[in-house]
Parts: sequence; C-alpha cells; structure tokens
Amino acid sequence: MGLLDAFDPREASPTTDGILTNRGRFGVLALIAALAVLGPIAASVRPFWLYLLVQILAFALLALSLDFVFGYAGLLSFGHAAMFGAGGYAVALLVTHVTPNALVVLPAAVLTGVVVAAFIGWFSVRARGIYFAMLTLAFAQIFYVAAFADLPASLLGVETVTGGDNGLVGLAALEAFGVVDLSSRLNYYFLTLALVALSLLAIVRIANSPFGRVLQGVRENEDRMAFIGYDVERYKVIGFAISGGFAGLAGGLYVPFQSLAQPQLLHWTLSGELVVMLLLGGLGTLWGPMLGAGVVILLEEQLSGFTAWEVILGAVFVVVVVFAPQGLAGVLVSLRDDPKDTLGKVRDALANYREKVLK
Amino acid sequence: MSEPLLRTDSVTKRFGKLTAVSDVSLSIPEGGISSIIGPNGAGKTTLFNLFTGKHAPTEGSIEFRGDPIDGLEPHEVVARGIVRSFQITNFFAELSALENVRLATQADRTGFAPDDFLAHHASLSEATDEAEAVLERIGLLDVADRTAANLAYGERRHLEIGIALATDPDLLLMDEPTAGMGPEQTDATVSLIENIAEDATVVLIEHDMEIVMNVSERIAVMNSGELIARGTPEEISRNEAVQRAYLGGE
Amino acid sequence: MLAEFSSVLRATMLGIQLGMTLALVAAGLTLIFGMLDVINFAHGSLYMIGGYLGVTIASQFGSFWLALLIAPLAVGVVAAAIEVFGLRALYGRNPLYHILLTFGIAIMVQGLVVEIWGGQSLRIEAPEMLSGTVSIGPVQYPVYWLFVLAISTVLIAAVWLMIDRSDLGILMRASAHDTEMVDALGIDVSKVFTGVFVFGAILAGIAGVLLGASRSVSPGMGFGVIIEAFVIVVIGGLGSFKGAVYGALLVGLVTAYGALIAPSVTDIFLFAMMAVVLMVRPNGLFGATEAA
Repeated sequence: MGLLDAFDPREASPTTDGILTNRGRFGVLALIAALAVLGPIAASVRPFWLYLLVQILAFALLALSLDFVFGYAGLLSFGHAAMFGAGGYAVALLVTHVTPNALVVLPAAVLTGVVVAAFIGWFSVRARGIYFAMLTLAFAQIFYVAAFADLPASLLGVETVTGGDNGLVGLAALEAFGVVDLSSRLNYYFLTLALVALSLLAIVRIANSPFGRVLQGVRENEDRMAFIGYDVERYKVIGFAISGGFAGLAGGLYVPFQSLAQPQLLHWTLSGELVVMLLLGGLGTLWGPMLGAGVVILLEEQLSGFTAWEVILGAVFVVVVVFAPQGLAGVLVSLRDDPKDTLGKVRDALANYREKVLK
Repeated sequence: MSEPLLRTDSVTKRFGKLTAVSDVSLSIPEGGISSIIGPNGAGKTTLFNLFTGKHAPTEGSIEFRGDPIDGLEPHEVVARGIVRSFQITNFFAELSALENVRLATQADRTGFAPDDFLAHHASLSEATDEAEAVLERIGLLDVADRTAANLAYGERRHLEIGIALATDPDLLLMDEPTAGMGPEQTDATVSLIENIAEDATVVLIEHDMEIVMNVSERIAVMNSGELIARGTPEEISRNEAVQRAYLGGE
Repeated sequence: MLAEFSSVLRATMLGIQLGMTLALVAAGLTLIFGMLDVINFAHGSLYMIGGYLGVTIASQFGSFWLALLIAPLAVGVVAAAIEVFGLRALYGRNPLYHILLTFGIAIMVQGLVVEIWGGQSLRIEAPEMLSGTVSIGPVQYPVYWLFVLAISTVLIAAVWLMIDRSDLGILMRASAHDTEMVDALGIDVSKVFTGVFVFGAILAGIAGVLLGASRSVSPGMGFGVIIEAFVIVVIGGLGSFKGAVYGALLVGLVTAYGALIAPSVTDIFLFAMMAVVLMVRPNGLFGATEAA
C-alpha cells in the first residue's frame, strides 16, 4: 500500500471534496516539500523562523486532531487543551525523571492523549451539542486546576510533580538512542514536519475508512445511526480517543522544543483559540484548520508588537464568521474554481449582510 | 401460527403524568403486513419507540422471537432484526442517496477491527452493491449520487424506507410511509410495501384507511394509549368501539 | 468550635451574596439562550465592561451611584451594537457560529480593555455610607456586601416576576417557543431579540459594577466569570431562568465553602459538580427534558 493511496482520487463525497482530490494531494505534497526546503534556509537566515515553524506545525497537528472529531463527527470539543497539555506534561515528566529518548516519550505522549480523551469522552458523549462542549470544557479545566495547584504532589505526598503555576522548566532536549541529536533545532524541525505529515496521512486514511464514514453519519444524524444499528456512543468515544492521541502528540512535540511545560497549555482559552483556528481555516476540510493554525500563529507573532493585537485578531475572526463561514479553505476553493465569481460572492455576502442587519 | 414474532405483555409507558401507552398486549405473527391505526395521539408512535429501544416501557415486557427486548439500546434492537422508518424523514441530508443507504448496508460489516480504521471505505464493495440493489428496489438508482437534501419529496420518503430496508430487517416498522403523498406516489409506495412484505414482516402505522384495509392481514386499533380492538380488516370495519373512536373522537 | 461556626456562617453568607450576584450574570446568559438560541461567550466581556466603566465613572465623578446607573446602560448600548451588527447576520445559521462570533468579540474586548485601562487590577470605591461592618451573630460582615446581596436579590426577584407575570414576559416566552407565531401577531421579533440581548447585558453590567467594588476589576474577569456563568446555566439547564438562579446559589455556596476546605482547587469542585449533574440529568436540573 503506497503512501499516496490514502489521498484517494476516487473520493467523491461532497463533504470531503477538496484536498482529497488529485490536485489536493499534490498540493499537500508540494507544501510538505516546500516546508522541508524552508527549514535549512530558515536555520541559516533567521533561526527564529524555525522556532515559529515548529510552533505552527505543532498547532497545525492539534487543529487537525480537533477537526477530525469536530469536522467529521460533529463533536464540538472545548477541551482539546487537556489532551495537548497532558501529552506535553507526560513528555516533560518522562524527560525529567526517566529518559529523553524520543522513541519512548513521543509514543507516551500519544498514549497519554488517548487515555485522557477516552476518559473525558466516556463521561461526555451522552450529552450533546452545547452540553457536550461544556462538559469537555469542565473536564479540561479540572486538569488545568490540577496542574496549576499541583494536585498530584499533594495526593502522592511528594514536594512537586507538575511544578505548579511555574510548570516544569529547563527540560533536557530529546534524543534518539544517541543516534540523532534532537537538540539541533533543524533536526527537531524535520522530526516535527515528518510526524505532522504522517499524522495528516493517518487521519485522512481514517477519515476515509468505514469507521470514518460512520463518524460522518454520526455528525449528520446520530439518532438515525442508532436506528440502523450503530453503537453511536462507542463510536464517539473511540473517535474522540483517536483525536486525543494526535492532540497528545502535538503537545509532546511542542513541550520539548519550548523546554517548558506550563499549566497554560491546559487552559480552556487555548481550546477556544483552537476552535478559532478551525473556523478561520475551514471546518471539516482537515487542511483548512492546519492552515488556520499557521495564520493565527503568524498573526499573533506579527501583531505582538502592537499592544492591541487581540483586538485585531478578534476582529479578523468576527469578519470571517460573518462573511466567510467556510473559512480560508472556502475562500481558496472558490478562488481556484472560479476567480471571477469570488468577487461576486463577496458582493453577495455584503448585500446579504446589509439586508439582515437592516431588516 | 405457533410463536409470535413480536409480543407485548401489558406494556405501559408514562411520561410524567401523561400515559402515552396503557396496558397494551398484542402479538404480531411472522410474515405479512399488520397495521396499527388510531387517531392522532393514540400512542402508535410511542409504541414504535418502545419496540425500537428509544424508550423503555414503564411497565410490562416486550419479546421478540421469545427473547425480552425491552430496555435494549436502539442499536441492540437493530441487531436482533427490528428496524423502523420514520414519519418525519430522518436521513443524512448532506450525503448522497447512495451513501445514505450504504451507511445502513455497511452497519453489520463495520466493527472495531484494524481494517475498519485503515481500509478505504470503498473496499466494502458488497455494501455498495447491496446499497445499489436497495436503491433499485425503491426506485432511486437514477438519483444515487444526488444529495439527499436535494431529492423530491416522494423520493425522500422512499429513501427513508430504503435506509431501514437496507439493514435487512426481519421486522420492519413503518411510521406513516405515505404521509403527505399524492395518489400516484401513494400507489408506488404501497406496491413497495407489498414487495417488502414478501421477505420481511411489516408493521404499518397508517392513516389512510383504504390502504390499511387493502394491504393488512391484521389490524390493531389504538385510542388514548389503549388497544381497543384487533382483528382482520373485516372484523375491524364492523367493530363498534372502533367506529365510536373514529366517528366520535374527531 | 465557635470559630469554626463563625467561619461557616460567614462562608454561607458570602456564598449566598456571591450566588445572587452571579445570578445576575447567569440570568442574562440563560435568557439570551432561551430566546435567541445564542450561547453568548461575550457575556462575561459585557460584565467586564460594566466593571471598567464603573471604575471610570466613579473616579471621574466621585459617585458610586452614578456609576451604578450609567455603566450598565452603556453596556446595554454596546450589547445592542453586538446584536444588531453581529448576531443578526447569523440567525438561521448553525448556532455554533454564534459561539464563535461572540468568542471573537470576547477576544476583542479583552484586548480593548487592556489597551484603554491597562493590565493592572482596579477597584471601584464603594460609597461612604456603605463602608464598615455589622455584627451578625459572631461574624463581622461588611455592610457593602449586605448591600450587594440586597440589591441583587431585589433585581432577581423583579426579573422573575416580570418573566412570570407580565405581558412582556409572556411575549418573551412566546417568541422563544415560536417566532413565527409572534411574527403573525404583528410583533417585530427582531426588536424583541435585541431587547432581550440588551436587557441581559444590563444585568451583567450591574453585576460588573457591584462586584467591581467588592472583588476587583481586572482584564481576566470577563473570561473568569463566563466560565462560572456557563457552569451555572449548564447545571440549571440552558434557557431556564429558575435554573440559573438555583445554579448560581449552588455555585456561590460551593465556591465559598470550597475556599474554606481547599482554596486552591475550588474550581475542581465546581466542574466536578457540573459533570455529575450532567451525567445524571443531561439537560441540567431545570432543562427541558425530551418528551415523547
């Protein structure tokens, strides 16, 4: 089975159209190749760019993991920070106490993400819609408070586990049996790029699997799915756990690079920001949210000079929600299909807005 | 006929103070078409909800092929071979007609083995073949690739039946399959129901008395949650309690 | 023993007072949801704007009372703008977009507040006549907190009566259930929507000023209170006014008692309570349960 088979050109479903076409898979490959070339250039011109790129890749992976459950299964998780942070803390603790071997700590991050997500999912899937969102948020906040107040330390009777509000700082760099030096930023970048690309491949593959189809059915009409014989709650928990594994990996890649695991990784505002990335990029397209993650992080970086960068970010977001609900992916697809028509669509959107607001 | 396919024993369902179904005991033998009739609010749909695991009965029991099924989850009931269609079309609006039906034919072929996560969904070619066969049977093969939301009303109603049919049920419960249809569509739907009844047991909830009298072998009449009569079409049409419920009630 | 009793009594009073003030925030949130089907993530921001405007007005004019009057009205104006220029364009779309829009607005407000008032925490000067403490049994209790309790309770009772009894309340409930019917009666539903949104915002603005003088006013307060308010309305049942009031009292008391037992992890009690409630009653304590 070749790698490319995952991006199946037979794909014909209206909801998964886009990246999964022939053109789309070459687009992705071209982008991965471009990023691979960009790495060494960035390393020699401005090493800071590498730092940004790794950050973008980690959040792209996190956004991808959320889009898999949100875009595909319709589960709005407002608690994905829990899996991200848990993966990050798992790596930080292993590096501090056991080993910095990437082949140990990264799988552990995935596993932690799966376990945390299965736990949260198992309790939350009975609730639906906004109640589901609030339950995931609540559970994620429990993890946040536990890390912030270093609850594990009190329970175990030791001095410190999570490091409280300071977090775990000064983590050693990862390595792989002494063969690959991952303290080199460029090597770490390549590792991250490779893992994010593989994750995308895996998620596209799962989305196209019989299981992925069931998740799509659940999103469309979960009641009916039950009445044709699917154990909907089980599918949702498993889908959520799979997503959590990728979110954990994202955290596991992010933390060693920052050399810091802090409670903020678990906070609900990070989950919220993640939802922003999804919507900005284009819900349910898988590639859109990854793009959205990149745009949000670049925007934050560019705007951080201004004190009011949040105002601009929020405003961009509001405009997208009102005028381009399909997000950047929708805009790009529209530009590709019919560039001239896009201008007309903008006009329509404005007219529509005026009519609704002034009615 | 020896053992009934489906049997209820003094089934009662209350929602708070409202008793939707009250002490209903009935049995449905295997094969053919049975109908449940009664005025609006008589408890017919609630009875379907009880049969299919949407609600558990407050009192009483339900048996399918001699095994109790009350309290099972909907998907567990489907696994036993009982499937329903809905009065209000309840499908996958954004998916194509083929995919709507395919989700149903795929159901008993999908589990949690590695291949279910890693194989391409198109590798379940039997599910696709079966789905196409169902579409042909319900007359929608021509529009297989059309998004469900874009189908005409009659087509949607048939797709609604097709989704249920595609699970290959032993007992198909159909909730007002002809609701809102014109005469021609109704005829087509009635032939479809008769065709389905050749290899599955069908229970209909239906308001159109002409259809009920023509196709049913047995009829049960409900009023205000209670079973007030049961019998062949001839017996029912002569039954005074039924006439009172219909003429006096509305 | 006496010391313990007095700290429990004090926590109880504090919890009730906090609960009633949170009820002002949660009531708006739940009313807006019940009517407009909008989960208003910016509701905490409106509360925060109330607090900050309160600070400015109180320090400019030296009058707490003026702040209590003007700041909530100004919050109402901001809310009207949000409803008309933002939400109105989204009605009829997936309710998810409401969350996302109001989340975007919340981010903007957060940034604006830091831009205008800076990052440090501020405080509204409570009026002279409400300073000092009174003895209630063994507890020395601040007069201002009693005042907050009284005014919150009166407001909540008034809103409750209004929703339950008045024509306006009936109209509001009617448009929540069936906007087409209200349309048919010749009433402009979009005006009712704007009205409810503004009304909910004013309640939040009042809470912002009241708590701005007992807690403090800081850029984190918007996001902080919205989580508390969500917990409250989810426990009480989205859209239920009664649920919001009981939920708020519950959350206020749990917060106050939690501070006695384990101050650093009080939030865990709240979230665990919410999780338990939802597992037992997936639509909250007073939420609409699925009928037939």
